[in-house]
Amino acid sequence: MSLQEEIKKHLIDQLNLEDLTPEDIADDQPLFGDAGIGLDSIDALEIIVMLDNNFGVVLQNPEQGREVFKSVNTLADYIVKSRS
Amino acid sequence: MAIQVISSCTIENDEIIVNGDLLFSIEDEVLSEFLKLAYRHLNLSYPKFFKMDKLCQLAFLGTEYLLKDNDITFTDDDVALCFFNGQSSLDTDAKHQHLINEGTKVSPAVFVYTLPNIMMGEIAIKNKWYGENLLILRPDFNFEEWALEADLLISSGKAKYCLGGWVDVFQDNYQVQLYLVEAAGIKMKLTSI
Repeated sequence: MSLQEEIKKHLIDQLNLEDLTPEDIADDQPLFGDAGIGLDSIDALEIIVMLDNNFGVVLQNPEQGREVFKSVNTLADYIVKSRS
Repeated sequence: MAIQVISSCTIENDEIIVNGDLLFSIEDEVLSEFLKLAYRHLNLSYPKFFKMDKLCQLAFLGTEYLLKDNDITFTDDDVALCFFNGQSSLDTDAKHQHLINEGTKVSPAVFVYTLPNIMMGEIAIKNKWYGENLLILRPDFNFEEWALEADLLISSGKAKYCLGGWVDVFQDNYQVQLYLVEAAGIKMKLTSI
């Protein structure tokens, strides 16, 4: 399973996105806003918890959230960079 | 009493009944599954439903079923929400406490539902209602006492309609009894003008 697929599975599970499957979320699709899958500010907090619990990655600077949480691809990039 | 009931909805014993008609039922499902199936039965597209706790899902479904075949157009602050509830948000409070006890990180998505009045917020957001809202914790439901509150909200000019009643849940035990009411005789007065 690719890192992107793993992230999607955790997003769906953690954020209770019952109507979505991993295939419904494109790697570069915005996660927030009307063009995306409609996540909100509480979801952003859940993603922070998810990154820590499932990937051992702590978001050091909350200001980074806007960039890091843009899409599955940006989340994957951040995880890879944080681990290296 | 100066109000009249427009519609009513009860959710209990695996059944959803609106104005005496059985609109949805399914047996032998745990509550969380019953709620999901009842939601899908409405053919709604409102993904936020799945993020709500059981108390909010019950209040949300009760309202959606109650309004399902209603042709009244509500505007601005026409509708006041008045809810009675027995066990507050205890079901979610216990879930939140369990996460703390386990020593895992608490969930922000769980924490936001550790207040019972959030159920009225979810209804207001869905329907874009900006009216008054009132939540009273009490051991059980008494329609006459609820009607007094609804009457006060309407007769004082705070709202044209009042929606609410009783929503209560802990674990798999639940009960919903909702009403949409308006001032009694309001239609007659309008007709006679």
